[in-house]
Amino acid sequence: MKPSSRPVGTGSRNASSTDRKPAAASAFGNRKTFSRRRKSCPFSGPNAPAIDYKDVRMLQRFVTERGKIMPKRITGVSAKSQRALSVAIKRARFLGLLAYVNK
Amino acid sequence: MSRYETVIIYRPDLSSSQVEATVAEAAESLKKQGATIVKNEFWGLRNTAFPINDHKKAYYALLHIETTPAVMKEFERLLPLNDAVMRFLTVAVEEFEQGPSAILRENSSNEDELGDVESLSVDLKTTPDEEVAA
Repeated sequence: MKPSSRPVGTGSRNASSTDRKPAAASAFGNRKTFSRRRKSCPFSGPNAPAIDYKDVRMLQRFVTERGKIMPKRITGVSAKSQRALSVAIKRARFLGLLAYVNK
Repeated sequence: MSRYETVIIYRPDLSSSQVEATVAEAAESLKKQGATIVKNEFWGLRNTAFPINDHKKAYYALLHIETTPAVMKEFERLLPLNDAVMRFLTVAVEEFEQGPSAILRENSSNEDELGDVESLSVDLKTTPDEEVAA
């Protein structure tokens, strides 16, 4: 369909909106496929591990390869758990269980 | 009475038994002051994540102590006077952790995983029975 052949006025708006509908829907669909699943805090729930400065293997999952504490927006840890986690990581570092920096 | 968890890091150039004797000595002095040693865990010689006092390894010991703050304060004053002690960390806890700590669990991880699988299968078996009984 040629766009120039469309009638002018309210009708054209309706026509164009119906014409665009599939395209708009697919764009929305694309956005939907990109939308991330809501992350749940790994420290809440029945089988959640306890935040413990001695549990090196558990802490390692929340530290980058460099040794930095990972932001909670990436790990999905709740604000409350993140506070406890950062204290635990810092204690583990003091005890030489975790590195301050991995070069 | 409060509950304290102390991790002590000892120099690696001593023998394992020497360090264990030192830990026992520290525990004994605490007991004399009326403290109860709930747990005395020895983690052995571990590689540290970075050199501590130029040592790449260290002996670790964990004590669960139930005592008054005054006794703990004195313990923390005397602890670093021993040359074998490189570092220590005391944490006040609400409840003591039951069973071996995460460090020891890690060392026997393979056995633990098997144990977990067994306990899971037991759980699966017991739940339907309970439903039937109900």
